[in-house]
Amino acid sequence: MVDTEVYIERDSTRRKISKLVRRSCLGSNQQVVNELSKSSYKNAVTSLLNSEPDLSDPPETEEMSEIIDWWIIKMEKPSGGLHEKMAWFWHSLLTTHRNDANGPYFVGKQLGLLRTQALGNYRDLLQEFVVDGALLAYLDGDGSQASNPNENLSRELMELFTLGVGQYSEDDVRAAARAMAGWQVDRETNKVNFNKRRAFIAPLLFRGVQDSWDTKKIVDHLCDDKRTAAYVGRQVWFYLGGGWLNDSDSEKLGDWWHGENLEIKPLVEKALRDTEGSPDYQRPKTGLEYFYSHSAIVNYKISDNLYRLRDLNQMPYEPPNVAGWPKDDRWLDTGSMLVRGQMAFNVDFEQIDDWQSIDANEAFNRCGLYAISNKTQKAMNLVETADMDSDDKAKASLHVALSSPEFQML
Amino acid sequence: MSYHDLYENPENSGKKPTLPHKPVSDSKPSSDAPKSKSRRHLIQGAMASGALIAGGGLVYGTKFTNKNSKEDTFENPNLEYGSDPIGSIRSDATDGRVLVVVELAGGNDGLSMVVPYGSGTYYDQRPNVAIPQEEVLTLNDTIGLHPNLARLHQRGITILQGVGSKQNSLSHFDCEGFWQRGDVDGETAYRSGFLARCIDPLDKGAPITGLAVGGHTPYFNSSRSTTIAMSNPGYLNYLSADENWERKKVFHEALRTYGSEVSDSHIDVVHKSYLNLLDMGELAGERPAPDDTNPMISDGGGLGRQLNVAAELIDSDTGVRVVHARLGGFDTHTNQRGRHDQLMTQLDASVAGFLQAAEEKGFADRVLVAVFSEFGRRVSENERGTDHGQASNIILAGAIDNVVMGEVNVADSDDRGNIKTSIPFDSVQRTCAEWLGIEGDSIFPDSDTEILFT
Repeated sequence: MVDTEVYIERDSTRRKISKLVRRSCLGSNQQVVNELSKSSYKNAVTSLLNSEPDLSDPPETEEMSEIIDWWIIKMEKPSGGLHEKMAWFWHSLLTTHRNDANGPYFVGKQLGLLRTQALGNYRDLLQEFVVDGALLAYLDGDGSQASNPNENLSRELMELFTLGVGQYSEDDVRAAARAMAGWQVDRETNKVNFNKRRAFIAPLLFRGVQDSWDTKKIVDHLCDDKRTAAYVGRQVWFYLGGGWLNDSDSEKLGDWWHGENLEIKPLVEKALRDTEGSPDYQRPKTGLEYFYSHSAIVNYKISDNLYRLRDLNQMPYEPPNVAGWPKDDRWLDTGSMLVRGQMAFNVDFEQIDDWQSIDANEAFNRCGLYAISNKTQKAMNLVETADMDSDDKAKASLHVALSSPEFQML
Repeated sequence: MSYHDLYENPENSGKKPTLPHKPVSDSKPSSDAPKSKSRRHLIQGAMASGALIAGGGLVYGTKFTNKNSKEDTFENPNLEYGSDPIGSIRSDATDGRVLVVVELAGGNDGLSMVVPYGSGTYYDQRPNVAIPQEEVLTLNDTIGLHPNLARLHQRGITILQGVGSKQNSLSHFDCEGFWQRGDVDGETAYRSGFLARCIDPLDKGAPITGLAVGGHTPYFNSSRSTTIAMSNPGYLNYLSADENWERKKVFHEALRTYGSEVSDSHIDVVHKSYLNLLDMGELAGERPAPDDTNPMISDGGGLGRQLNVAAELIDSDTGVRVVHARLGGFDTHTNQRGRHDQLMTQLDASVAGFLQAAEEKGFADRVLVAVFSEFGRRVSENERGTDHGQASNIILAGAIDNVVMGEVNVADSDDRGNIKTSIPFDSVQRTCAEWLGIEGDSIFPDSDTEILFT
């Protein structure tokens, strides 16, 4: 899908900054855009990158939902900015389902890891992630023994977390499964143990190299491969609204990021800085992204609206499969637009400051839309000329802006 | 003022965030075997309080992590699901037939649903979880229904015994994928969901041809036609008139100005979705709130609500031909009697309620409900429940004759203790497709299984 639409520009500075903000923050609003518009694009990127993250640990609890609800509330804070945005990215790339994660203790541990390494180093993150108690359960590394190793983790490590599909052989999958066998999660003591008797100790041939491979060496080897930098770099680029890079650009990005030792912050900075002039609306907001962007405008109390994430098909720790959530136009299908359309209409206006002053212009501003298609403008014109009192007009202006195709996009 | 100062954290950093009274992310049951002790307690607690049935609205099955579904990996976000050739319509097809698939997610224990009460082996193998002979609602000398299926027993249903696959995997994900694609031996290269292959040839440009009332389902994957997946059918009420109807009408009119241009642009994708919705809303008309005292809702819970919406949309002129609904919670490794009994009540009230609604609305003569699960469970129990098995019993109800087909011999299970397959599941799927009016061979080109009824 490409963005072929021609847009009417409403404000050139705010257009750029608003795009940057919506790509960088989950919950952001007009004030952020206004404030950042006072300086240059470059300075705005720096400011967003240097926002102070809240690195507090998830609650220790026996209730899985308490951990997930805690996270949902944390993600709302716009001051978390890129930090929260990237923590969510890592959960969607390195995903785990709550029902197959060895319980709340390990989900809390994993979440802590994803959040502290959100803008850290990918190699360090992955080294810890592959021996994480929740992931070991999810991808069947827990209990895998060398005599009959489970291949799930080794396959997904290469297919989804490092090289990408087709960049390794079935022999590599089997060899890595052997080399990574031996991990066991002890749920009594909440410890991840390595059981040597279940491990493979003799040398193995993995990707053409004979060595005494183990989990750490496998991950290091994969992270040393430039294709890992290209594969993960391309995903980050797309996630941050830079579009889907072609093979050659993705290879170039990989070469560069490999040289940066897989440090995440420079990659994010590059993805935002180098795309200042890219098209406005590159991909659909996912359900969760829609939730926070909508919420920042209508002022939901997040804790009263958690269920909406399920209705929007993106509850954290409930991915539809190991590859995480869809990345395509399924986020805009009829069922999704039923939910989003309802949310655009059923707004509690008492929660919105000064709602009576909202007109077409203000509605677009509040939604951060500074590039508008002719079709959306036409829909807004219909509201402006409709036979309604001024209160209803104010409300309907916001309905149209919130439900506009532009607002569905990142 | 710096960017950070724009936001004052309303909570002191030391304080715990305010959590909702009841954790919302737990408002549905899990149909997966919880490894976590605390999680299990949570589920049982919720069940005891009745929260899963009546509280918080809808009850859905868990979306399994579909571990082996490679077409779902989206390495390239522009890739779509694999598709298969569009099937063809039979020349003698009966017009307007509707197939309603109810998926029992988690692996339904078919031997507790259709009970082989005449078999001594069944009682020997299941000292704790067998359904006592005196409770069974008998169908003949050897089999009968679970006691909580009284409404369906009275109404009459078709039983297919020993429906299973021709491969050996007992993984949720493998088996689910095989069922979804109609791949009976795990080797056939179908790339799309079997219901998607039914939907495509039936599409005549109606607002919805395929309706998933229990959320997105891989059964619909790669459908080219208009399908709608509702995670929460309650949202449909938004399309109806309410106290803000004047403003809503203007809003809907504004959405209609977008037009129906079809292109690759995201903008047009959104427009098309809105038009489908508005057409659907118009055709569905004003919808009364579900009647909470109707057993379909009060006993049927989430599944009842799903089928209630399905009945309304089938009755309206929206063009629905294939419905997918889902009831989760069938992975009964433990506490089988309590959980499974409750699920049977939900199934009974929902399906019987749906059939009654079909009679009242006048489409009973063209609707078929097929109750599937991705696998059955082992013949022998593990003291508190049963483990993943192979072939199982399934039930059908609606505009077909009520018969018993296939067989289950619990004394003659395979070497792993599984019921042997007497009816390959693609035979059932192919039969359902043919019943809908589709040339079976056109969507199951690699299958030559028997057609069970017409």
